[in-house]
Amino acid sequence: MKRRDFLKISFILPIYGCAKTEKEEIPSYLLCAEAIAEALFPPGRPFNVDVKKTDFIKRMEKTLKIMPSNESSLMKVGLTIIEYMPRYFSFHFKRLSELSIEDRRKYLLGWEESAISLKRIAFKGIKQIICLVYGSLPEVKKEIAFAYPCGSYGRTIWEE
Amino acid sequence: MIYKTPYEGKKIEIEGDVCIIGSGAAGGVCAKRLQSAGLKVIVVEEGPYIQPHEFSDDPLTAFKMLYRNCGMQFAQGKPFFPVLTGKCIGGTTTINSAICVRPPEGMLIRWSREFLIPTLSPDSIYPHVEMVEKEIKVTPVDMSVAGNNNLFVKRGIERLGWRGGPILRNAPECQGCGVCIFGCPIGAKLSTDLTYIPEASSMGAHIFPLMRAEEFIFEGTTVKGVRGKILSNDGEETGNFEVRARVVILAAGTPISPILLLNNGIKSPVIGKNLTVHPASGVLAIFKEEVKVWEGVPQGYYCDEFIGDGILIETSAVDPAVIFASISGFRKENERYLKSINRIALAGAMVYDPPSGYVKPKKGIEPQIIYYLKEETFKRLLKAMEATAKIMFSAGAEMVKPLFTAAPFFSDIEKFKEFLRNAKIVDIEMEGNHPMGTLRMGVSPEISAVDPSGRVYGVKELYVVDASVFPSALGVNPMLTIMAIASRLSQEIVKEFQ
Repeated sequence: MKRRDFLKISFILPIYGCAKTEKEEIPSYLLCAEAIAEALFPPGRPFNVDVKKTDFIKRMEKTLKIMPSNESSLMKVGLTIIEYMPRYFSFHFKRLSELSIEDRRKYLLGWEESAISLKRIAFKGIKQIICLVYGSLPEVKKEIAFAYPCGSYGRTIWEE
Repeated sequence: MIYKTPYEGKKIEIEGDVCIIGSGAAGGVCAKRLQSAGLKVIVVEEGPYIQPHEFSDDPLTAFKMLYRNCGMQFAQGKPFFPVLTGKCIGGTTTINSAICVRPPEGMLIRWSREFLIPTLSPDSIYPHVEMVEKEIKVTPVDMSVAGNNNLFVKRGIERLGWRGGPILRNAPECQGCGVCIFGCPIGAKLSTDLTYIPEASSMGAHIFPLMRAEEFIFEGTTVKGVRGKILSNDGEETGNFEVRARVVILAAGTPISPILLLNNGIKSPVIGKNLTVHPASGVLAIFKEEVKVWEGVPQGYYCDEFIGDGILIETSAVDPAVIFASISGFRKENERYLKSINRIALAGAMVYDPPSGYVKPKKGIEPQIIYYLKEETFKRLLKAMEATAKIMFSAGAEMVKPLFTAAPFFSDIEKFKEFLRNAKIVDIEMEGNHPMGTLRMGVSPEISAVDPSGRVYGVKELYVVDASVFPSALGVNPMLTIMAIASRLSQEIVKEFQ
């Protein structure tokens, strides 16, 4: 790891610590996941699905519960960091979920195409889980006319 | 008998001739062979027993039910990639794409001559390959249910004049549901949970799901049995079990089998080392016509034009949610890609790799998998991607995207190749779902963990029969070879009792 990467990361843990002290109804990592999903798939662009009007947050929460504990913890830390970094490390002075969709897209592009490989890899992992949850939404499946040839079958974790 | 869970009581003690740890490709075959040889066989499997009517088409549900670590078992190193293995009765055969490829004769000759292992020679192994092929009804894909993804790739291969054909699979009644990796809901895929395990059970074998083997029972250097934990459906420990057996057979899979040896104090410079995974990656392509990549046989057509270079190209299919991760993004063009989701095709290649990694204990029997993609393997992957892109363009694709983080789609092959020239290893989106070699077989304990009969060096009555014994990567999908080797080594194990 290069020294400048270490220095950047050493600022991040205090941010996470600050974030944990704020009292919230919905944890910041879930708000961040929803915000990223909305930025990746804005309503009407191209799918007519408004993430905020689905049960995305409930499904994300469930997913984080069933994941192995190490991976789940890393996801939560990563999402919390992404949620708070625009407030402390950019001129937005707002949390990610408080930014407009366009501002979020510009900000998150920096994560996806970052020159720091660790940042790119971390974001790729987070994005994959978010896309899995987004793809599980019945609204999305209907929008893309997705169905397996043998039809839908079996109980799912979303019903538990 | 396949025991129903949850078990009554907190302690189970059983005695038999043979205890097999694992019920997948190797464990299942071993169970049947040894039970039919008249031995009392006990199989302990960490995962649950899930039957076809209980499967689900929801990816996260299937990952939780059937996969180790909920489908989140990763190799660390460079790059970071998933190593998907099953944790259920049937093991990885329950969740794979049912691909059955014969071990290449050249590789068996290499293993028998260069590695001096007569049990792995073509004469020794091919009779068992033929036996297994009959037992699991290996047949070529019926192209009428293959789906457009396979048909378009077939078109591209034929237009180029390259060698290829329908993939051989152990799914003779396949209807092209496209859900192989979630478990076959109609029982068409003849995985071990539908063949060898129930057949062994009907002959008298005792099959115990939700039992995690942890500790060998030693008398001096002789293994006399296995102890471990009884688990609930949620993986919580609810009790203890003990199996006393004359012979213990490890068939827990390449990542886990070496961990069991290391955790039980069996030391050797090679245990856990020499990991190979057949790195696999590919391309997405957008066509004018509808593809609906999730319909049809997930992996139904192959191209072995470059097999001499260690490259085997195969079609592939995933749930749309997985494609979203590759084509969504924050640029304007990502919207266009998402709009084309119904016209996207997927194909890729697995490549031969030299030993590039190792496993070590992380927590309990959970492994930490470390793998560093070598430059030569990366170049092979790039060549495979280029060849697959040519197939797609030849088939009529408008645009093709290599599976690299944030890579765009390209409308011509030259721009595609230009991208590959500057591509970085850390950004490749790959998988390594054929882990092999961590307890490699050989004639000397200095360079191998097991002898040519599968016996662990330095320990009596302990055998290994899964893919961890492979002396090198195989170069093709390994399920059939694993089964054949397990079948062959069962003959050696039976000799213990004669």
